[in-house]
Amino acid sequence: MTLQRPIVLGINAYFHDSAAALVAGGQVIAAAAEERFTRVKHDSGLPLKAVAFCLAQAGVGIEDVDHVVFYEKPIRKFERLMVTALKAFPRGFGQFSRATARWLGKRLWMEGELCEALGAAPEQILYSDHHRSHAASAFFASPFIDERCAVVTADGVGEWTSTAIYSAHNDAQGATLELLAEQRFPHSIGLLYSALTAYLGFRVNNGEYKVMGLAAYGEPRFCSEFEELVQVDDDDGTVRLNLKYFSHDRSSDRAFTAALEGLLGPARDPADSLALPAVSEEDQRFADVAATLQQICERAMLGVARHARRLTQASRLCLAGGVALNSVANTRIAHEAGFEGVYVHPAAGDSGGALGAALWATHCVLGVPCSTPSKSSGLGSGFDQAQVESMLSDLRVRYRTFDTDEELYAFVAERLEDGDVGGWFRGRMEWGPRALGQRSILADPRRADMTDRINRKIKFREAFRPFAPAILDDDAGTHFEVGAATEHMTPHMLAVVGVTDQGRATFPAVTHVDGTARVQTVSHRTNADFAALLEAFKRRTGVGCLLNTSLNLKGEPLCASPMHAYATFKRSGLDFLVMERCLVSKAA
Amino acid sequence: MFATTQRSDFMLRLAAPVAWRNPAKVAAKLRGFAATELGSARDMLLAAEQTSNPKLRRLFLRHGLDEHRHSKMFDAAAKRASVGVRVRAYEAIHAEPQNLLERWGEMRFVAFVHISESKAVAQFSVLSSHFAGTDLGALFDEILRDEQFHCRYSEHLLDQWRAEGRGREVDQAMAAVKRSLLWMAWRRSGRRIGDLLVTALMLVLYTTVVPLFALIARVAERGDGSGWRPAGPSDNSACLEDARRPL
Repeated sequence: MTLQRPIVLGINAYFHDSAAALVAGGQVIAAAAEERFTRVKHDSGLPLKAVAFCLAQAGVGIEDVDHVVFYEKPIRKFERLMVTALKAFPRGFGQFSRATARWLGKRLWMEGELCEALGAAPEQILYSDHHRSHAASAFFASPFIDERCAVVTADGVGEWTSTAIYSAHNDAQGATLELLAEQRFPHSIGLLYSALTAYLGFRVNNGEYKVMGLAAYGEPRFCSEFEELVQVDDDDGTVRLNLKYFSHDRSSDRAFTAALEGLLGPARDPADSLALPAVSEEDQRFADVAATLQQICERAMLGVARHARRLTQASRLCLAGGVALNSVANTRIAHEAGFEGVYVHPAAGDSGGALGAALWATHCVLGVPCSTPSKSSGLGSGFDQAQVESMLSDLRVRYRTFDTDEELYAFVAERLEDGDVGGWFRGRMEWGPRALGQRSILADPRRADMTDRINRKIKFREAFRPFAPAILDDDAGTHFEVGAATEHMTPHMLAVVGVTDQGRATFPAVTHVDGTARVQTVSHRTNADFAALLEAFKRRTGVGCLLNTSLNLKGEPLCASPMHAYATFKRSGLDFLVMERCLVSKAA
Repeated sequence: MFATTQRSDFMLRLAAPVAWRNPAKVAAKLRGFAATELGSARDMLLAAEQTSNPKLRRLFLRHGLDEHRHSKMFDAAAKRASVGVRVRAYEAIHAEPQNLLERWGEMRFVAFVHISESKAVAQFSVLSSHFAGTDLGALFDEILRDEQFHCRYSEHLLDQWRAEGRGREVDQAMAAVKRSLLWMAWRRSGRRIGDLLVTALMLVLYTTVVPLFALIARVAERGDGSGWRPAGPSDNSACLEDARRPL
């Protein structure tokens, strides 16, 4: 493969969700999160394996790369940590000690480490900015690159910024990504969400999506308590945290203070299980806190989006940053913020910063024209039929090989219709946290007992967590409240929409307790293999829809290789596993 | 070798009542075991992926799956032991991948597996006796059987290489692993000592130098910092020179 220049490698590391991405001549060649290779969820180390994969996928060495772009400005981030610790004096010793030791010991000399570990030269290294990287990931991959766009980024915190509004523009002369306004640490909707995630007994930077699922079981009855905790301006999304309830300025271990427990009641013990729908008042209280938090998050993000519309006068919006993974808020923005189209980057969290940094450097710094939207899914590792067969043979596993894809689709559709649950490992791995039909667990969504079965016996995860439907885009409107507002989000499972009466009756396993679903619409144009399987299922059952969840077990990253997939199959209650055209069955 | 093992068992037996003296200690120990087993599972599955030898691939896969199961068992036991012991913050099971096969090659990796599993067998034998007749005793018994298998298969592989005339290489690999383990233990201790020294140094800095800067930071602070700020003049630079700066 002959690659166009410049070749730019984007890197995100040292915080969480390390990743690498490679862009050549403006085309995205590969991108992957380090966790997929090391199997450490949200791995924060230098993404050496992800870099190796990207270079191998492109068929180049590090010496061929024109620039290596780090996704943020490390010294600016260090400055924020130091200033915060100073302001917290004398309570910030823990934070000061840890940050100083960590940064002086390693991170300030990051350029040297990058060069040594990757074999790069110092002159190759560039730095983007945390939120600019997010913004670039969203804009350059969006279908709106020919128009002036508003871009909103929101997460816990980058260097200083917690929420930002950009105006993005691209034409034959080049692309610009102009920061218009920002909100700064410690006032952050992302940090509020993280602190409450910890309060609810989940891990920060990991359990936020569980809180979103939990919210559906509650009522927002803690509004007056939250007024004390955070002030949100509905007009422009300004967030003002009452810092006496938070401890991110003085502790990196504990996100909230005892005052929060005084306000909302005792925090949930992470070791306790949650029984939902709630059988105890305590569990209901936690669900209600989650519901109130979700409402606050939606109000804030809606306000920010409206402010972005006023500032930019744009009719299109792109979203990125960890908060943009809040699919419920995304849907409200799409419907209520006044934009004609909304796009969310599939890797909206920090891993996406690696791709964003590479795209920003390519188009904004080096001036490479951007003529088509960057590819943003299916950017990970892939394995051919021979590699899969070789592994299965080595392991002396009995498997069946199908001569054609069509035979495979028909067989799998039949087994799913019979109530079996299968792993589906085909093509190149997804970019971003959602399984979109390349590394998926699939089941029949018409069976009401399927949610419980997969949660308990296959993925071993919390019983309250919902599953998503993947449906042929032509059929989606009958069962789900999808439309123009969400059309650019549903292909990547980034919007939660209402389920119609017909949908609720037909697909009980993917209808959440509040009558919604985080639907994935699948088209033959963009996801042909998965669409063909849905067609095969439709031929048998009349519905082109499957329950689609990630091919992994609780607390583990998505499977990246046939060995991971087979090990997951062996450790789970999956009935069968498809890898390319090979099928392994438990019964075999 | 026999005398060393006896002495190590004796120390383990002596330490067990102290190390496992209350539910909080038991839970913490079990969580530690769960983390170790998970790290080991990841390394074994990675090794299964990386080796081109089908026999090793099968053995490493089985070993990895065993370690995953052990991790779950220890984790579940830790949760049971934690009843009534409040967990204030979410303590994630955490283990760093070591990627040893890629770094060391097959023979040294198998030598490492053998030495580590032999230690685990010794440790779990003691704990199985210590908790005999309880649920924890049964748990250690079950895991001990798997660890004995891991010990046997790795020994068998080393013996096979010896029989192929590679005895000297095997001995060198075993010695290298022992040196590595000593070095790792020294580094762990060094890190702990270093952490203590750094904390002490930071405390001195924090109480002597930082107060002045803290005062300056507070005086310089205007408002609570909330609200929208317009972008500054340098915020939108996209020139190559600015992109080279980490600040």
